[in-house]
Amino acid sequence: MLNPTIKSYPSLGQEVEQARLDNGLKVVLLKKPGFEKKYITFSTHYGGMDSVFIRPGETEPTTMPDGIAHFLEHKLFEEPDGTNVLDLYSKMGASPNAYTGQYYTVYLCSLVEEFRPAMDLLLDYVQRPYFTDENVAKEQGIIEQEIQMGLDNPQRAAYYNLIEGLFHRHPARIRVIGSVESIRQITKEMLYLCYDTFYHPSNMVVTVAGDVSFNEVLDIVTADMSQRSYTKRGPIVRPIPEEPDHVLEAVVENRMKVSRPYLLVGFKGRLDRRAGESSREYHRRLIAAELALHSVLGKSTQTYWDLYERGVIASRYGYHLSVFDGAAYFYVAAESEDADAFAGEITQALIDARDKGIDPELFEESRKREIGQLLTAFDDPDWLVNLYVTHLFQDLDIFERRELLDEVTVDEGQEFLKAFVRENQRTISRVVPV
Amino acid sequence: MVVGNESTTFQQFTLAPGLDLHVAPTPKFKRTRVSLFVHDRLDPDRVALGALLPYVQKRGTRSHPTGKALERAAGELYDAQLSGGVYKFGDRQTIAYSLDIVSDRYVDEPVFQKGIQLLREMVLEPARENGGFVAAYVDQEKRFQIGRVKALVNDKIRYANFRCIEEMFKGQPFAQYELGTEEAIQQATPSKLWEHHQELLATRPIDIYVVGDVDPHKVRDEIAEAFVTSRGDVLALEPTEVSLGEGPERTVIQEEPMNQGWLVLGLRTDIRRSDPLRYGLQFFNGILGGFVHSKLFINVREKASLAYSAFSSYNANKGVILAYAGIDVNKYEQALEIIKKQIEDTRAGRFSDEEFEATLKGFETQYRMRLDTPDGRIYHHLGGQLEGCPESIDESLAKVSQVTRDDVVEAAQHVRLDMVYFLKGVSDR
Repeated sequence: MLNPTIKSYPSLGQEVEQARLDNGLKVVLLKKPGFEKKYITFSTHYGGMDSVFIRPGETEPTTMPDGIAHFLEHKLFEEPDGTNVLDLYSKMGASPNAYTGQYYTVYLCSLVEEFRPAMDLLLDYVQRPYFTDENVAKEQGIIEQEIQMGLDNPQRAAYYNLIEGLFHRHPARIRVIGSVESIRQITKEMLYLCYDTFYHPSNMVVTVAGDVSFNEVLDIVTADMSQRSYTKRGPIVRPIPEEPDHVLEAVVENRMKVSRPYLLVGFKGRLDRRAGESSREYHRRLIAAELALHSVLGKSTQTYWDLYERGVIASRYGYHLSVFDGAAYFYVAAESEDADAFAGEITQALIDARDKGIDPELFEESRKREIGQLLTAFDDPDWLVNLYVTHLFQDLDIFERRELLDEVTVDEGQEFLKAFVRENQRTISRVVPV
Repeated sequence: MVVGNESTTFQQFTLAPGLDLHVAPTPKFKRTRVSLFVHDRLDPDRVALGALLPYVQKRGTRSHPTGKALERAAGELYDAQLSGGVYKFGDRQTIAYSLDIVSDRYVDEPVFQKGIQLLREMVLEPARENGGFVAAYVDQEKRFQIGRVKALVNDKIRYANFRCIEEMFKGQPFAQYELGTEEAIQQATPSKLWEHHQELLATRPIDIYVVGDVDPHKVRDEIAEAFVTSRGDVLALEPTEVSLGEGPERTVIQEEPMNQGWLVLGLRTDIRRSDPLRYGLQFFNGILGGFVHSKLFINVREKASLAYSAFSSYNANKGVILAYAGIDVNKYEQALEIIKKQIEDTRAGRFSDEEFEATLKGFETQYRMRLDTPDGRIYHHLGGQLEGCPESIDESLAKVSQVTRDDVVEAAQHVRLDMVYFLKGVSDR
């Protein structure tokens, strides 16, 4: 049963066609008329946070070394005959890539011509793992350099310290890439086990963005899947440890060769879907949280400009909200000439908004900004697909966003601040000059 | 000419002496981009002032006199993005201003017209006092700009790139950092900066690009009304100096406290952007390190497992190629030897038909994908425009399709290894 459906979103100028195969695989086309590029992805709901899981049909949790999802992503590019997927794509003039996040791994390919062979190859190589002791050892060398490169990056280093300071045991504290020590423990047997668990079609989605027909997409995917035999599976359980409300460490500091301090001020909390709450209602609360942050921390606020004019915000200013099952956090980041003032005044602005309310004018502006941003994303197939996939794996519908942006209220935004902005829920992570 | 169903050429209008408008109407984007570029010489006495300018201009305009007021106005236009920055293209400093704004079709307001007015004010009517820029803004932005110059060392690969170029072109304008030196920034004053602004707008070549769902003639009138000012004699910019340099390669090793090392090999050529051999040279770079099938990626990363990053890049306006690898510091000798061998192999034509074909397809794909983003279209054209040889994407596609193996080898005879630069990580702990 395929039951393909077509939905049109005129306010976004976007058409979406989707279907689900018998084996559980979801197939989606985000139509991009007039685009040269076809952007194809094959994604699994599996990422750096999934170090502990209960396999379908089992009762005991399995624990894997940190960084294994990302390691696995690297290894899928290798083929048994010693060739490399990258070479095969090069011959088509296509660019393959992949990335691993906290709860997703995305394999992708951008191309202009040879859509069918490129898509065939993507489906094929992702479903054909080939791990040996030798090729695992070789990858350890490459990923070690990738880890070292990250540790030399002050933003990355500060981010790691932040998540490890905020959380006691929730997997939100895991580095997606792992550590030199953890990836050394990875074996081919572990890779096969993780592969078998998470690379089942019922845990995956194929997306295409471009000027192609859904019939062609479905034709390619069903032809591929008809050669493979997957048995029906129960769900994978991802046990979430109980996380205390307070942070593990209030301040974490790292010394590096930088010209001025870089810091992150993070607040943790819970933003879980409530029992009986619809996906749409929940989605609206998430959007309210984002708009609250824009209204308090965005570049239209007095706080931002006061800090900017004094050099307290010197560069790399930004803020970001991450939400997972059982834990969420947001952080505010900047390179600063006065790290203490930054942490203090950002916190004060958040407390003021929490206690006295969010400026309604700024909330309205944030709403408009988000509408503009959403439309921007629809001009960029890579960004659009990423939004689609990350929403899907959190059981959210990105296409509801335009309507929800009209509905969300300032009070919902303030509720978020009340739940997160508290002294013992804050971690400050600083990188300071040696 | 047409790729797919759409013209790849810009419609051109000369609005005033040395002020050209390039318009690409297309229904496929939901946003419209307007970019304005002012070109100047890469003169050590001017670079710092030119680079500081857009940062000060973003601080306020005549009718939105503060940074906050300007941001508020842009936010109300559905997150219109007003930006300003500076680039070094060959021996040019190009100051870039842009507006990125949602198409009127998706919101119930004529936002495009309002967006153009914001961009116009930022470029032509910045906030002023006492005949110059606002002193407080200039002082603050000078301080932040100096901070940015000092922060270059924080970003290892950019720093290694800058240091390699600085060593290769010592004493020449191209050696400068695009933001200028701390000393030069320090000397900027509100009145000097204002004079610089006035001089640039009156006497330097300006290109304006519009990409989006627009009517070309209507947009021409709107842009002309907003941006045409009195122009003086427009300075003709000299072509970029492109030369091989001479002598044996030099080696510079610099130690910094970090985990990794960055090895950068600087190659010089005497092939200008306008030279017919330019595409052969582009293939040389593609085969060497432009793609994941390229020699550097395969031999440094995949076979020797020495690096996560191993690639090369070609600066067409300056005729320079840089090859990079992020390596373990103990593997310096081994990595250097492998990289040099890849350069020699490419130069000697030791590459397979498959490598050549994959490189061709890679470029064709890259060019066609540029049609899918406003920046892709604009910068493709601008790069050539600066050296008097602008090309549409169709023209470039035609040229890459004609490149032969012999062209690559011929271009490679014009390549000289000039610099081995190693940013060496040392432990500080």
